[in-house]
Amino acid sequence: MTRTVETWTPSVCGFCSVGCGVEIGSSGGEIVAVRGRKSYPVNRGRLGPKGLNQFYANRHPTRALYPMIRNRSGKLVRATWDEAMTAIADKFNETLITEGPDGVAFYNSGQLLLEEYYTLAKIARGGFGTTNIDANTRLCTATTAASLMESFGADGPPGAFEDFERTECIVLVGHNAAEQSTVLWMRILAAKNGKMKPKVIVIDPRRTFTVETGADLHLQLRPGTNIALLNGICNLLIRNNWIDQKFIRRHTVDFDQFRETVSQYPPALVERITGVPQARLRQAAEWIGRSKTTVTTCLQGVYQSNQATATACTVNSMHLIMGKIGKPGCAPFQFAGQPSSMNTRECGADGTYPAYRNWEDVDHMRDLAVRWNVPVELLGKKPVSAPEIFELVEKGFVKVLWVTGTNPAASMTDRMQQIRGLAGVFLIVQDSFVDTETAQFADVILPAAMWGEKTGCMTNAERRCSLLMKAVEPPGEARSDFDIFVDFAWRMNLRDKAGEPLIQYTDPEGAFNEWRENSRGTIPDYSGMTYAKLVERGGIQWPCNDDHPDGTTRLYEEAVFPTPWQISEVYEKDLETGHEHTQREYRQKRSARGRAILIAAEFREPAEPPDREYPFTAISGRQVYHWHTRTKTMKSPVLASAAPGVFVSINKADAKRLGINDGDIVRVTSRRACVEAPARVGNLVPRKTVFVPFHYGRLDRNESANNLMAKSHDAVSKQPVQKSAAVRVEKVRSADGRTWW
Amino acid sequence: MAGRGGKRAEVRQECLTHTLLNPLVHRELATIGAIDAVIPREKNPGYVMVLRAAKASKQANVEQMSTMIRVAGVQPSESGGALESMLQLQSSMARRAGTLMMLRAMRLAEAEIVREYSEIVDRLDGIFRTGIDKCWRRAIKRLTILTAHIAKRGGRPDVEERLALPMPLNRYFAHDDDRVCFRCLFDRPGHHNPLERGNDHPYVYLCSACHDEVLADFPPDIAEASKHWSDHDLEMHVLEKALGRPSKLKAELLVLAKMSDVSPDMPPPPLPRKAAFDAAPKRRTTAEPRPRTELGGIADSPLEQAYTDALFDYDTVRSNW
Repeated sequence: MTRTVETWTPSVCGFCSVGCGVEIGSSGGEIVAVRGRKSYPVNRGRLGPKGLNQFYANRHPTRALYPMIRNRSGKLVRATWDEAMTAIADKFNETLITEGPDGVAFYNSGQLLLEEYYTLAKIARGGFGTTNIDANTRLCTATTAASLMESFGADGPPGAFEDFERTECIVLVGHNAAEQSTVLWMRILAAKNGKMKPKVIVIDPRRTFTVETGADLHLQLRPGTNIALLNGICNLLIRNNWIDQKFIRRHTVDFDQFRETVSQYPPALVERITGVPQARLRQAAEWIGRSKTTVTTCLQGVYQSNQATATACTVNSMHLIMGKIGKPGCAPFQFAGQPSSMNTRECGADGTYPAYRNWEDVDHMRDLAVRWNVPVELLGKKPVSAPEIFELVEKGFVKVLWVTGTNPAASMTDRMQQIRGLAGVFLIVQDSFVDTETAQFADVILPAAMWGEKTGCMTNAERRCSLLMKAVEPPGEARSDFDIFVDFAWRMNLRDKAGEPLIQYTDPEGAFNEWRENSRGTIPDYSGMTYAKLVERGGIQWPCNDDHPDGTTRLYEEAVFPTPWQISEVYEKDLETGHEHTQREYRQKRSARGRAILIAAEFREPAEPPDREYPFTAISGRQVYHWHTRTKTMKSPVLASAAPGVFVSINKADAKRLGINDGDIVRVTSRRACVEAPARVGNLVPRKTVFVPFHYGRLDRNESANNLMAKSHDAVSKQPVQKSAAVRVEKVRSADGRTWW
Repeated sequence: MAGRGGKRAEVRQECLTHTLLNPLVHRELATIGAIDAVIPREKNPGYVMVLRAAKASKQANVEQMSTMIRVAGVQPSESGGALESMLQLQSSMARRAGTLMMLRAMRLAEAEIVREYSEIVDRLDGIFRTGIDKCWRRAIKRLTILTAHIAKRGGRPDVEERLALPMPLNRYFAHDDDRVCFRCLFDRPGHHNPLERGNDHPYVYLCSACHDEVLADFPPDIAEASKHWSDHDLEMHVLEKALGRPSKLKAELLVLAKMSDVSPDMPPPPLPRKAAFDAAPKRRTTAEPRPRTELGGIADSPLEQAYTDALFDYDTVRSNW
């Protein structure tokens, strides 16, 4: 029975990085409905199935209602906030004294609020100087940031969503938009019936729902061969002179090197490597090259694949050689994954420093130290990535791990090995639910408020910052992540150089105001935003400052890029080793002087190619009805019944050879572990490939795609390779005609 | 021993901690400032790694001691003050005079720091002593690195620094030139070739011994897969792994400890001490009403409408899985 809504509160959807405007309907202190905000420019009332059904999680019986501490018999029992926070502060202090800052680590999320990331980053980096802080954005958009830094000098997606409606050609590389970014896909489909009628090219090993519902051309390549395909397209663009020589000359460097690399990928070779017919490759290059405007997106099919950063950089380069950047309808759109993954990157709660400051540049660190009033000598530490943090946990270097709003026991690759680490470390889990796989290994559980129960900002993939208003009180004794971090800083007695508390603000608006000042004059400049202005405007794209009080639709309109060493966020890394130039090397290598860097790379085989023992390649991906490890979506009856379980997609030719019928239970085994699930037999995946959705990970079942994947990652972005493992497939038992689909 | 509201160690120990440690914090901060002043000027990327490692090690010591002071309810020293300015000037001038002079200047300061740690470590108890012992070890390792590099560059076999090393110089350096391993900060001999990468790439060097140790550290599944890799790909994977934080930390706690003649402080791998405990309530979930899921009238085009209809018709979507 539907309850009558008493109050509608403006907010933003808490799932993907499109960041749709929503209104939260509440009644009697509970959220009872969600609807799209018709006035919000991103979605204009549209919402996808997850957005519409997200509120069921808020009132689910598995919500964490009070703190819990693991007792001597290994059970998690109820505790007071004071007991839990004292236990944490004691453990932190003891570890910091005996081990130093290497002994503690924070692993946070892409679903918190800007103010929470900023506070956490300030505590960790400015408070007690650990560099072991990263977010689960390492698993989704670390490559976004890495590629933007390599090509343009700093993070910051150049385009805007309106570019999709103002373009003649859209290229989706490893981006299953119809299942990941439903509202963006709706906008694209609307545009296809509109004035521009863009051609849509999809590059994906699977025949996805995106291909089915709106692609004009599908390049179904072999897993792990993105870079060969893109090199082939760039080669054709150059050979056919579908490039902008003037733009290249004025605004880029290293064109000769780029041309030399991609010229080694003629269509015939590309077909041999990727399996994509030459005619299709030529068609794609022609559509891209002949269109006046092009938008290209990348997502996990790039970021979680072989040569992730190199591929994303090649997409950036493809746009640069055509001069298709900084103009309406033109953008290399390196996508974000989660609703606030942009914020964790901006605020320094991942492997970066706040406001895109370069950790190697003493002047950047001095500027930050002045604003935080902390010793500059303690800043400027080389960031450590999540895969490194988990290795440090597994090997015993990290003694205390604080996990906030994420579920690594289900989401990390080589999962069974990772779980051993979680079972050994002192684990603090700050989450809205007690039933996550990670919470089951907690020593302390801190109940956190979730979406709709707290106030703060999120910034979407087009740099649009919006204010989410609290609609209802959190249940039980749950507190906002912000309040928990502030309490922790107070208990740790963290102080600035003047002896004042390091965290002096007490509410999210105070944190936002400090962040605005911290970002003033930097690339992600929020200084012109206020809570009042965000309420009034309903979302503003950064940079927003005195020069751009209404925000900025797209970056690089003047084609001037932050590559000079004084402002660059990074000094260019080696695509194969991840090693970064020293400041002196970077200055001596070239003088980019505001020009973008054209990057190309040779194709390299995936780290774990199939062989006789493991002849298939397993890839993973998402389903439209679930988000990540289903922490929230499994709590919605609609979403849970729409996608109730894991399966293995297999090509029907392979299935026939192995005697597998639709629905039969199969075992997929890698060098690490296995998955057992019903087979979906069809033509959606190429031969010798199986697909497993990555959402499932119950501890008592072999159902996690991450069981299969190796602990390998991209050298630059350190993003784990979750889309490629060598496996073998065998039938376990017959379904006898019973399936859930 | 805790933050506010937690139990505290005895007052005497805490007062002592503050009195003893703040001068050391002050000195470590000052030397960090001096390092920051010379890093941008250093031409040899290998020595940039030496300087960065020294800085990171000092930062860890400061953070560790600051926590001890903070739990005593006292404000730790927050700057290197006049000493920092003096050391910055001294190290910049020494840098201009050459790398050897810079290393000698740093070693002088480091030797003083090691002496100070050695004087206070016995005056502390419990975890404070454990902590300071760790700081002291870090300082000894830094001193050994500087000593070894000076001994090598100093030329003469009777140079003071060479005599001060716990091992013969050829255990630290397999070659005569100025190459510095980015992992262990020496250039130790081993079975595999050293790896060097430069030209158009950022310069990196991994010594033979580190090459051996990193290869041996690949987990079994990756080691198995690596049989498919080309020599070039294998070398790139080795370099990437060698430069990661876990590998460098392992080198610091095992290799540098051994080369500095201090006992290794490598932690044992943690044993899984917890079983999964599901704290979720066992009661059944109450049946929720089936919510409205249609989006009629919002779509801007027939194509969008067709997609939206399919999106809320699960069978259509499932046929694409």
